[in-house]
Amino acid sequence: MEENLSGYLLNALDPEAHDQVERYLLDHPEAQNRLDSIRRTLDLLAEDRQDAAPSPGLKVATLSRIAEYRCRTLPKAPRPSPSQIVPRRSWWRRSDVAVAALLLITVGSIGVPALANWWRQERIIACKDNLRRWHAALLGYSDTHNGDFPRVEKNPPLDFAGAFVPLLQDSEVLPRDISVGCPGNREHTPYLKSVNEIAAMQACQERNDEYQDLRRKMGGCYAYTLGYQEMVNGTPQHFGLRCDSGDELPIMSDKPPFCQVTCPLGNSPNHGGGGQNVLFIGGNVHFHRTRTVGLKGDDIFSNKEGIMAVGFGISDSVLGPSEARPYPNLENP
Amino acid sequence: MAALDPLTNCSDEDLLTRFQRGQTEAIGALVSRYERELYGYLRRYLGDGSLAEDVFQNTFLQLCVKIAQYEPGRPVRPWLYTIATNQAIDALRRQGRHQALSLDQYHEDGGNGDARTLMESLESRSPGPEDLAEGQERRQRIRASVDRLPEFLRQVLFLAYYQGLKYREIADILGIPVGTVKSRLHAALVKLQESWNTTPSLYEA
Repeated sequence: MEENLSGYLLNALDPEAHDQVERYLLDHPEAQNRLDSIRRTLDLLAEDRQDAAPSPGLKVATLSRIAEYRCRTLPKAPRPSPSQIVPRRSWWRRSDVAVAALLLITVGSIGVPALANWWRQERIIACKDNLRRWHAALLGYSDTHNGDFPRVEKNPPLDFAGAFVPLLQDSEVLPRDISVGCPGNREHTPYLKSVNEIAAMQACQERNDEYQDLRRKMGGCYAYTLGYQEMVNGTPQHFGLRCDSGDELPIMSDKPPFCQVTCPLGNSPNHGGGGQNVLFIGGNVHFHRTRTVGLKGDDIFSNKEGIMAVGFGISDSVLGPSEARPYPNLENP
Repeated sequence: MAALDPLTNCSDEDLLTRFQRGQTEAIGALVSRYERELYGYLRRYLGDGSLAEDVFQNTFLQLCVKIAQYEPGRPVRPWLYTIATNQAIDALRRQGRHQALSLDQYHEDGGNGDARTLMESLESRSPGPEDLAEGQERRQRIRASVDRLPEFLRQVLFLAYYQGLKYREIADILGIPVGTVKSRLHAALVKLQESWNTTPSLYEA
């Protein structure tokens, strides 16, 4: 409701939400103070509200550019003069066939790999765009959680990397059509279950298979941060990443090659093993041909002990596929 | 008495549909209608008048390039703002100013032609130059606080407050859920309040 107060003052809410706020204000007189505080901030903004006027010729300049675009036509090729016209031949000479064959071989040897490479690049770019959408959702979550990103828990039911999906889902920051399928891998959309549904599933012995299946599939083709561990008053404590943890820290990526606890060397299978897209907290997404792209060359898929688990310190934080657990040595869920 | 332009009473959607069907003067009516509003948005977003005019022209040019994609009835306003916002982001990227907007940019302060960087104005907690009116000083500080917000918060603030758009429209323009629009606007206002609380004189009328 707090977030609707500013929208109420700006008249930016839909009629239903607007009425809700009015009812809320009637039932909660103390909210009036908060409303007044927001109003004071908006009043102050109003002092800088006056818009600068455009120059008088803007409309004409705009229409001229549009007219120029619409009138632009490709120059016609000049007609060849009769002396330039080569007489038609009804048959191919051997040299023509040889040249055609040579062309075919050349196009085949250069064109096909080039086409494959172009196709691969397209997939990488589409995957990057998808990761940027996840970044927007993660930022939306951190906006309402004091700067924290979704945190994979130490204990069930949310002790797996894919848990970031239901946490984002419950915060209503996921666009309807977002996918955990990497375009390079062509997998599915996310399994949209709420945290409560997952907890209920985990608590019910009969639904254990369903729960385990969900743990494997919820994060789809992507890996998410398992967080890191630090000693606090002599006791190891588990932390998740925050929006202010550092722009250069990886938070999400293409999933690593198949692994249980230790992860074989090599790149994500999403892009044919050629590398992986890595999303950093600052919002940058880069395609890296190696996995040692964490802070100071840290391997993003394993911690200092070579294990896919919680990192030892923030710079050692590890990205794990959906089923990965921050503490794999704890008793199985 | 001059005859009323028959296009004046057309909705935005009707104008664009007419333009799509070849009635070229319809785009002129649309440019007139949005000239001040969209330029104001871009001017604020980019902090530079001539760049804003360039992006304004590009916005309508893009609208013409994409006109075949327009589905009759689709709301024009959010579409236009989406194109304008993307064009503005591209312009900032070309200038290498994306995400680092305005701390070093110059703001002309009205009639006297004096120009100061925002960084200077941020640092000037003490009263400004003697010839600078108090109101001008306040406005400059307010603008500096807004410009210090992260870009994703500024975008929402500009669209919701200065442009008066609905949450649903902003969500469509930026391609984010309505919940995120709400939380970002809330976060922007909280940050401004925090910033202004350290400058109590701003709250004094």
